[in-house]
Amino acid sequence: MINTKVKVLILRVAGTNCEYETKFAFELCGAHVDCLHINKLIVTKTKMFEYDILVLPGGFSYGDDISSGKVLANELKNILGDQIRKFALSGKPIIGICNGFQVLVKMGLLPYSDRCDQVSTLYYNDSGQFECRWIYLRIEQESNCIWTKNLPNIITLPVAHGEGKFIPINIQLIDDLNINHQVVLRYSSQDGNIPDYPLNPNGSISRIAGICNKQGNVFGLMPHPERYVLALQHPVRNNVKEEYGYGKIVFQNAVNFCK
Amino acid sequence: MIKKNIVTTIDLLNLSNDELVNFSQTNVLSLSLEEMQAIQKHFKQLNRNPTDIELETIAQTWSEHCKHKTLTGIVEYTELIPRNNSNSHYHTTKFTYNNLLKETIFKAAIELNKQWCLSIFNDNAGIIEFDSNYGVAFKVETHNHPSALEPYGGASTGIGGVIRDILGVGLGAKPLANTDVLCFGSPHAEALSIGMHSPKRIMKGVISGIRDYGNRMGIPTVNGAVYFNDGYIANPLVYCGCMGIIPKNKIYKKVCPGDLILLIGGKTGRDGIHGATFSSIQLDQNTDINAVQIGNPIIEKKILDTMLKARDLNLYSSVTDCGAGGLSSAIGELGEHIGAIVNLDTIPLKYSGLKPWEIWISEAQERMVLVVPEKNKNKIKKIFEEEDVDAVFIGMFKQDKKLTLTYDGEIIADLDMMFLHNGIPKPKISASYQIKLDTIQPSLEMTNVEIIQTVQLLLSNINCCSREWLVHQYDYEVQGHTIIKPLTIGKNFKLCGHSDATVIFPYTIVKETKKCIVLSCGLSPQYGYNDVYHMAASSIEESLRNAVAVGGNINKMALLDNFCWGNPNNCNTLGSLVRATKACYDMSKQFSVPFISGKDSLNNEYFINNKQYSIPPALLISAMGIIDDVNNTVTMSLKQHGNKLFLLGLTRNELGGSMLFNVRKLSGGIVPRVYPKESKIIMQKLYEAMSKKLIKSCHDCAEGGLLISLIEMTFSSQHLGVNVDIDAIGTENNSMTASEILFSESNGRFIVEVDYNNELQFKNIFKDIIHCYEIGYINNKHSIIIESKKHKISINENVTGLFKIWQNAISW
Amino acid sequence: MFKIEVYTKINFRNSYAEHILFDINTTGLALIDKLYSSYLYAIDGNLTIRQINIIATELLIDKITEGYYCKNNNLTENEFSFNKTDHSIFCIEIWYKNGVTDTVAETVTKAVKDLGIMNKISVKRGYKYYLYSHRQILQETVKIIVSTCLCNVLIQDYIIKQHK
Repeated sequence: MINTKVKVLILRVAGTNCEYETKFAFELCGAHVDCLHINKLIVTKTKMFEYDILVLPGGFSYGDDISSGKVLANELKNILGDQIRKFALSGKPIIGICNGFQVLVKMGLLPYSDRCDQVSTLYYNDSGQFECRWIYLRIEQESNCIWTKNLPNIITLPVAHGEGKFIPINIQLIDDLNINHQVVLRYSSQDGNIPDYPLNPNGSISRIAGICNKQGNVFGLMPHPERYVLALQHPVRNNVKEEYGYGKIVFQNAVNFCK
Repeated sequence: MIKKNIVTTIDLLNLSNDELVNFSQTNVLSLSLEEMQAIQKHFKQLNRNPTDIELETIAQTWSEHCKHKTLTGIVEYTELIPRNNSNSHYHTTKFTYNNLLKETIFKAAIELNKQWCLSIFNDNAGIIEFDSNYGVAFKVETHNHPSALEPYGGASTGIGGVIRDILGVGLGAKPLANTDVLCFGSPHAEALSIGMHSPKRIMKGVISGIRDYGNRMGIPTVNGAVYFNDGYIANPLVYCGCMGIIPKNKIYKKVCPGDLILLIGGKTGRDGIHGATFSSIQLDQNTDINAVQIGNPIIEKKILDTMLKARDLNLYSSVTDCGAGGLSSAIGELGEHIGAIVNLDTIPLKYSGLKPWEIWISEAQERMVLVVPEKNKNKIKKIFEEEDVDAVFIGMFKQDKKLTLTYDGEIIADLDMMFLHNGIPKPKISASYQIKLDTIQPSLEMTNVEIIQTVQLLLSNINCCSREWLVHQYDYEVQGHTIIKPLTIGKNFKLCGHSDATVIFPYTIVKETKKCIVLSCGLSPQYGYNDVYHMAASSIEESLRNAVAVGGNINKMALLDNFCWGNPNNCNTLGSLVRATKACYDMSKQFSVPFISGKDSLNNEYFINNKQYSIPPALLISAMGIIDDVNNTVTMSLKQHGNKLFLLGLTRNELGGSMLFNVRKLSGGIVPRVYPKESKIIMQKLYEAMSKKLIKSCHDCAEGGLLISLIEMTFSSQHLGVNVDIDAIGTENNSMTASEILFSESNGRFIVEVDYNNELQFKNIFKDIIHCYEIGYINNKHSIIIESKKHKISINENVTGLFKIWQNAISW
Repeated sequence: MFKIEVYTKINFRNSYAEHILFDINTTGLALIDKLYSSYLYAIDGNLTIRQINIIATELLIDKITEGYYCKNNNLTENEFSFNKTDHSIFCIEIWYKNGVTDTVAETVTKAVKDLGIMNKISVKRGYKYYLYSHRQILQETVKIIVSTCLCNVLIQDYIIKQHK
């Protein structure tokens, strides 16, 4: 029997810890998912191309020692850089969630996948603390990010990070990201306005919570869509009627894109 | 026969009694004279002296930490019970326990004989049935002394250690959630002496340690408590718990002669040498640096990833963690009935220069020992190598019932397993406890204004105020299973209250399940000053009540006990411990809820200026239960304007040890009692009502009493508030004043919100329950409105201001 | 041995240093006006200056927000601004004692290999703090500040240098 399911590769390293719920989210959307350790990809460098979607999941890769995502970003850049760039430029979807976003930014695959040069960072939260909380996000509807279609203007998701403050190398970059519609998600108040702490949990410049590359296939975000795929996971459960959460739509978009 | 420079033979046979005691002390063996004599006698029979490593092995195996000598020892207990309502006349009862634990806590579990208890008191953790394929395991440990010395490292290795307990239960469970319960001195107090840390520094370090380890492991820290009392100023209590899920066919361990011993994970260094024996010593300023351990969560995460893979391929037949006593305890336990040989040269070291005995008893973190049948040797090694986990075969199990250690080609230890595990003398210890009567306080009247002022004092009190600043540092959402979260938040994501308990819904592991796991805890040292029985009973009832409040099923719940007490050689200290275990037995039987595991930490004492202090005894009860349908769980936030509020349970004049007395500096009063018959039926009915989705929100009444509980419900409810009629509250007698009713901390009470459409159905379920009172309704003003015609009380207070007081009381 | 000091560039917020400053000032021991903190890495091995610069730029710093100083086997301070109103300036280094588990140092050792630098190296990690106050603060007071807020002497050693 030929397996026609969309194939998802979740990359695991020492310290990855969100792979189970991410796997579940993609499976819920009808995909076939493999969680592979980085050593497997290093041994067989073409292995990656057997898959339609690449996921850098949340966690603490290598303990986030030195700075979050840094060690993995270097390892990927130096050992699998060519393969990952090729994967990204071929238009296949890539998502980096939380630690994965930090890795994408620090290896430079975001915001410019063709250049692979670090031009922005995710730095210590202004609160100086790890922040695990639910927040509101505004979806930038003009963005061509393939992952965020069909979402309403305001959504809710949880964040959990100590280093999530988006900082560009210069202010010009923010303008460019805006012009290219590469800003996908911004922290928001309940009614769509500019939020204070804690609804902007880290003090991100321009309230940026997630960005994509120009093509819209590579997406990185600090919030955790995989932790809100079931309606039950929402903390305020008044009148929950739907079965699924907003996170499911994110994964469904990518799976549908690959069909 | 033995090389002198690496292994020393101890001339034990010729030592006098004084010299034996002296030797034990100078070498941090923590062995008593009787124990040293037993060892001497054993080696006299063998006609040789022991080596240092043999003596260290015995000391580790016999340590309080590993053997729990006190709780399993012979205790002659005397209880003095007041007569004629007077604290000066007593009658005395005496009882001898041959094994305190087996005859109280464990006995209740045996007598209750629950078929869904899969493993109790015989593995690293207790296991109960989750569904037909899975069990769930739960364990709570303490790491008090290490956390006093190096708060960050102590707490992180505490959580790391209890996670390994879960990895090492059966053939390994997958951890789903962590819990932490912490007791500190007042955060405003200074360090008591040079070399000790201030309570605030200890607290910040401990919380960071738990945060960093739990978050990096990807295990949500979901349930806990922080309690401040200056009795813990130099000896904090750090309880760390872990719950995990395990396939039912992986619960049983097997060790056969010929099986290989595989050591995986971290390298061995001098970390934590004498940790097991150290934990039985009172703290002073001259503590050894080697006792300090620092964890590396990423190594443990790699163990978790790879070990469970090997488990599912059936490549090993038993496993245990390296905890207190290191390899000595781990391999000693695994090989207890058959025998084992270990080559110490094979053990990977962090640095050179370790003596063999140091390698053997080191408590270096993040190590597990697997029992591998010879045929799986290559397959299992490959699994670990593929993900860069150190895995080394260090020995094998034998049939000779001996523990043999070799180093540099020579035998350096040759111990009889029988003697090692059963040779410890069982001394009789005496214990006595004097019960004191408590008496009702003079009538306590308050005006409207005084009530509000008191509420503000309570909300800003360190033991009542918000723990938000701490909880948000823990990743309580990782794994996605946390359905009822430690904080119940309002729609604007800014308001929040503390949830009664946490619910874990393991949907990524057990596909298509509706079942979920509730975790809660109870800890009430403040009720222990007159009679620890009521303290223990209250803690048990509180843990059950918390679990029931979110949808827990009292008929499918299990408990863990964690005693933190002072020096058991003190007759009165041990007496209070015995008294508390009696409460555990009684409550376990009467609620029909078994204990499945537990741990004690004794000798929580410290010296300041040569004066010895003991901590206030603390019994942490952790509850775990299985809920059939996750959709029936209930949060505490108010749901709908107009819905009715009911109070379940009777309000008694029980203000002894209460928050009110604490902030008003009052003493005396009756400490809350537990009435199991009354409480249990309410808990059962509540589960029934929740299963029929008749309850919209629910919160228990705990510290601070009914009024504080009502306010907490409004904290997590944007725009909503409550109207309550005090005169509708059922009280034990008519003489209780309004403030006594509002601040009493009587156990067994729940506030529930009922949809007006469901009122008849709800009343029908509770028709035989006397103590079910309709006390008010939900308003849409975000205000607390309390009225009483009888007591001439009329309070109308907006919640927003109260929330700020509560939220900002402490924030670091 | 090379010692690399990684600091947050002046125009970026160092929320960690803010926390420490708050902690110190709430002890009531002294009033500190400004506090800078940086990370230290002592790397020993047969490395060239070029290799050390690669390690610092590619691994140890965040290119956007952080910079570094590097001195060869030099335990003295680096350039930092003197302000005329500052009466007291102290510089404190804190290092883990030998044998204490240092997870970051272990990770650096692995990550240096990923950069293609295969020399055998040993790494130690430390912290550095600069305290500024416009009041007179005694070295003895700073010692108490260090041992109650910055350093656990059971597992770490410290060195205090007074510059003014």
